[in-house]
Amino acid sequence: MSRVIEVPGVLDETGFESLVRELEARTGDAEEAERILFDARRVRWTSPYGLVGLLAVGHVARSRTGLAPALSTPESSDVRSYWERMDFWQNAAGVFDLPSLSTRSHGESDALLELTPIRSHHDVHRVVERVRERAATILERRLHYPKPAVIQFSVMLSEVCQNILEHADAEGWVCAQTYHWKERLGRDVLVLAVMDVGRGFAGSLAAEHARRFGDRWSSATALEAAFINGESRFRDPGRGQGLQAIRRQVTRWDGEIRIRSGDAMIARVPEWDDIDPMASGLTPFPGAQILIVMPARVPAATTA
Amino acid sequence: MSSPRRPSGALPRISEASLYSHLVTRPTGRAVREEIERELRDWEGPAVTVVDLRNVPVIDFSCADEVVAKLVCAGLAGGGARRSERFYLFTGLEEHHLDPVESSLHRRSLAAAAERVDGTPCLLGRVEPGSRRVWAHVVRAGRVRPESLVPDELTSVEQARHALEELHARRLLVRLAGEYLSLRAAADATPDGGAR
Repeated sequence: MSRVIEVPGVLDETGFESLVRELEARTGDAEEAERILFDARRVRWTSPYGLVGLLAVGHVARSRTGLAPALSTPESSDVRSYWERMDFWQNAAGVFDLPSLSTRSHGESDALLELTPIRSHHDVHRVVERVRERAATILERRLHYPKPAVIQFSVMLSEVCQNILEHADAEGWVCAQTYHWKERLGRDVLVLAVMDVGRGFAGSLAAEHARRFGDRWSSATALEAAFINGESRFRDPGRGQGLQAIRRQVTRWDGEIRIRSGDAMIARVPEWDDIDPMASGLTPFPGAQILIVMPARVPAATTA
Repeated sequence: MSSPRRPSGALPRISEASLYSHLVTRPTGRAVREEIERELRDWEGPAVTVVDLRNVPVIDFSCADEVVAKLVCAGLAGGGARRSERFYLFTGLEEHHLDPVESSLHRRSLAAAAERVDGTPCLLGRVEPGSRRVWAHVVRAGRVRPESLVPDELTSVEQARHALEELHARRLLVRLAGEYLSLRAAADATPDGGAR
């Protein structure tokens, strides 16, 4: 017998939270292992964050139940095509129990970066080298960023992927895509999603910092320590600058960055959004989930 | 086999390290740094290494910390021991190198002598404004004695000597036979005291 979790029709950051809540509800009281079925038939739209999130949720479902979860295919051909173009199925094969899929070659994808696992520093090198050409086209022509932005984006990508390797002690994934954010911003955006299902910020920083915080130590304080104060789990003062550098760069681009870890989320919120810069009491989820949104420059900013 | 020694007061050993490709991730940076340090492992005198970054299309913050900041840090580690004087001049710096390099030096309260890709000298990292002025003066002149600084920058020979000595201690100037040389001047100098 399986427990069914319906994948939200709009699989973005809100959809991810819904999946996490459902997973907690379905696995929290399980007396014996039951296979989870993720019913994705009614998914109408997926963001990079949602796509990586589905993989992460599947991974956690598998580790909680000890059984590979099943995943039904979306009915929407657009969604199916998007998942295929983003190399979702290749990566899902190691997480979900899938019927033998003949993964078709999709040719050149329009994604900036297809869903890519990050397991070693070699993967980080590969990712940085792979995005370079595509990033130049997308950042300059579509988002109207100046030339150096390509390099700055590569640096950001490298640092955010290394965050997985340095702190998670677990596998992670990254993907990036541009699309038109009609309702929320009325502009093109580049969305970068990076996730892992490892120790999370509180787990990673605990040995070095928890005692100082005493009873106040939590996912929220750990996120604040890392994101705002540049703290790291290492005593070495050279550590911990990656996330701060990312925050500075995202701020320069008037972008948004959210980091969710454990039961908390911290964000650099631009004027064009109105989320809380810090949220706690979310449904606990392992690892860290990072969302970066870089909006196209508006004409006035382009000439500044 | 031990490397040849040079008598005290002689020019430091000069070596060059041209870096290529994407300098991203800590293991990459560590490997690059260790390769540079290996070159000097058996050298018992002072040494100036010119690290050329002009062919580095990307350097991230982690790699900048491993290569630039930790090289500079290791160069300071020997304190006053002349055999452990290690000077690093970072050249070929493009605009996009600056943020990671500056940031990594600031995190460790370090400074490094550098040159932009067009050859313009610059001092990166954490340095007091007064020391920056003195450093710039030495870079313009190539080499100075403390006495020659007095009219321009400072009020007494002692203060000049102190400022120069501090810059030397931070491996931003080379001290040689009563003179203080910019790293570029030291790297270009010939044994007879002229320039290459």
